[in-house]
Amino acid sequence: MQFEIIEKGQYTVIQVNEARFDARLAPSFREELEKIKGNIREHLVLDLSAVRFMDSSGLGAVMGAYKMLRNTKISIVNPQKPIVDLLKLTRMDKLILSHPTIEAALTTTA
Amino acid sequence: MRTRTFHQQYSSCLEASRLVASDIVPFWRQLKVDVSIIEQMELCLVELVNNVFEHAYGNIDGAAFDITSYLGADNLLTIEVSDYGSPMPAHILDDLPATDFIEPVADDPTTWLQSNRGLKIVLQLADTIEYTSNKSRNTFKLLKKAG
Repeated sequence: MQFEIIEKGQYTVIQVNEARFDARLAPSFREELEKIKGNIREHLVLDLSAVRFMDSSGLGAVMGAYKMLRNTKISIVNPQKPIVDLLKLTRMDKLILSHPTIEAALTTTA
Repeated sequence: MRTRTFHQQYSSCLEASRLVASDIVPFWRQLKVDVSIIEQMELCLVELVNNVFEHAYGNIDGAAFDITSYLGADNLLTIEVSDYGSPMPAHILDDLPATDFIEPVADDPTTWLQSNRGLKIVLQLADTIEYTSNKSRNTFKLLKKAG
């Protein structure tokens, strides 16, 4: 399964189970988000542990989620170095914070 | 002194960038290109291949494009992406250096989704970029010091 959705307490986790979050995957991510957007809790956590490559399309999909869910906190957890580098390069790290674990994400933004 | 050359023709589609990356990354590893440079150039290459599919060919499957890469003098990694579709309007490349990434602001949605983000990434990561268009062939050439 490309995405796993976990709902717990005040947060929803979308776990991206693909190595490449790119132009091929981005439309599926948008569709998945569209399906569940009414049920997303106060804090959306994007678990990118498995993603080792992200391009501008993947980043655009994440920013699309940010735009769609305007009153929802969004965090990224456990991003690999290329994803951290991309977020920094494009300055999106200023808007969506990254954390090593779900627990850290929830603690920081609680 | 120039290493052997990677040269391959591909067919445009949404998955093409994955195919190109899976072919060329092992080639760069064989050339002992630094891992961080490979990561950066893989990203640049994917952005350019997606650009070919979306803009040069208008999301049409099955149109040919070529990838060439080698390590040249001064340890410079050269990457060329050539297509036979619509050329990129000159103003896009001309304007790119002046349009750095905008720092996003939480309460200003106009800063969240930025245009030409892929090309800006390429501009930031490559040492030199050149774009030429002649005889129906458009070529994006990147140069990057390979460590």
